Amino acid sequence: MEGTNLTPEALSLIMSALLAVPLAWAVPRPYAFDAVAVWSLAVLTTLSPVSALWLVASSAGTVWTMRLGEQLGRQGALAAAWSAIVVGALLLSRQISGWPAIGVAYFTLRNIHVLYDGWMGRITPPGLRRMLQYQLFLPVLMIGPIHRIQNFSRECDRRRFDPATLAQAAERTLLGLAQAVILGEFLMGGVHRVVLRHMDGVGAFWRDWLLSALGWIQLYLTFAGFSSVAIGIALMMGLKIEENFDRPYRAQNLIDFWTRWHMTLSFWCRDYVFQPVTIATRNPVLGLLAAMLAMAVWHETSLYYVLWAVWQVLGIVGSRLFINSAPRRTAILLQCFGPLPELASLSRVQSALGPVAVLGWLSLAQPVLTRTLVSLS
Amino acid sequence: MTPITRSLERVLPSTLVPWALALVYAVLLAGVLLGLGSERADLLYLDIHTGG
Repeated sequence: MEGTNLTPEALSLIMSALLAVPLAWAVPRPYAFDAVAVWSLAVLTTLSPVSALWLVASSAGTVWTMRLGEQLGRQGALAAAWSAIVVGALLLSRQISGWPAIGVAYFTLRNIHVLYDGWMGRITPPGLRRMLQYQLFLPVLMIGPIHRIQNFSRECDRRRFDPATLAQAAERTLLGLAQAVILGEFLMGGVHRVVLRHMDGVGAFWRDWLLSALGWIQLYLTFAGFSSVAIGIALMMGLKIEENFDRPYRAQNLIDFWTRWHMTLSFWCRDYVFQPVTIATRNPVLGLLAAMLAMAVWHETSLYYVLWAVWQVLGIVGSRLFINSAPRRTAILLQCFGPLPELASLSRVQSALGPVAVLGWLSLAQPVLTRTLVSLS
Repeated sequence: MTPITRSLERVLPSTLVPWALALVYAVLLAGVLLGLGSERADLLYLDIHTGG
């Protein structure tokens, strides 16, 4: 992972999000999240005016597309067309050098969520005001979670000031920061340097694999930490938003892992890519491939990430076959080891090895795929 | 009651809990500030990594 030194921006973002907390409580209740939205827009405009402009324009476009679709009775076609435009803009934004595209990947997915759920009748199409309140919510603007508008609206309506919740939220924010900065950056940065120093005699492939595994651990610590900061600050404003991580290091297989890691993205891909493609094709593997490709391209538009999606599909299909063969394995183990106590201890070993196997597969992608790309070129 | 307070109450007499809590917060905050000052902790980096 390449590092950059943007510490003043990081501090200013966290401070700006924290400043939105008193704003959310000081402004009269009906206008509280209008004030937060205006503040968020001001902060985003300072950091990246183009991102701010596109956020407002694309959100307004989403609302008007839904209205027009209802009037013309062509919701599906218009939703698909507008989705293609916002995704195209996201991909285009990555081609323009020197444009810091802040939060575009996140608000693009939120736009599609609103469009699709509106079309499916799962939500009442929001007005422009609610849509901008939803999209211009500073704590989640930069790194998610990719929260859902129905939950956001419900939380806005229900919220009430509670000092105990405020204290818990403040503590979660501090713990999240500590996890991201002390453990994720400082400690894992040190581990990374020590490992690099002591791996002179080790083959390049094994070194890359180990560094890739450390990279996944570091990514978890920083990403889950900053997600906690976002969730904590939102809770300080009185809103309980969606969790992003559910102890992924306990995952027993890749299927389990992808329901615990960056959950709001995984669930977005499940709801808006996997399910429609699976229903249309009646082929869950194709649905899975489409969902993983969406997830991969969302991260980066490159051949590496296309191969990464295929790698994940192979892993998930392998996990499914492994799970399906469990009864047969148990029967064989019973034949070999007989009584239950031995079998129970084997099961414990399997539980302990599950997370190791998951991390092994995830981190193996980097050395294998980079070498595949080199040999292809 | 916050999770850290609950944990401290399990292991310390109640009179010491507020002091211990203040100490824990101070250590965490100092660690964060030191880490931010010395390392490449940045939200924008993370945002770019995750497709910003």
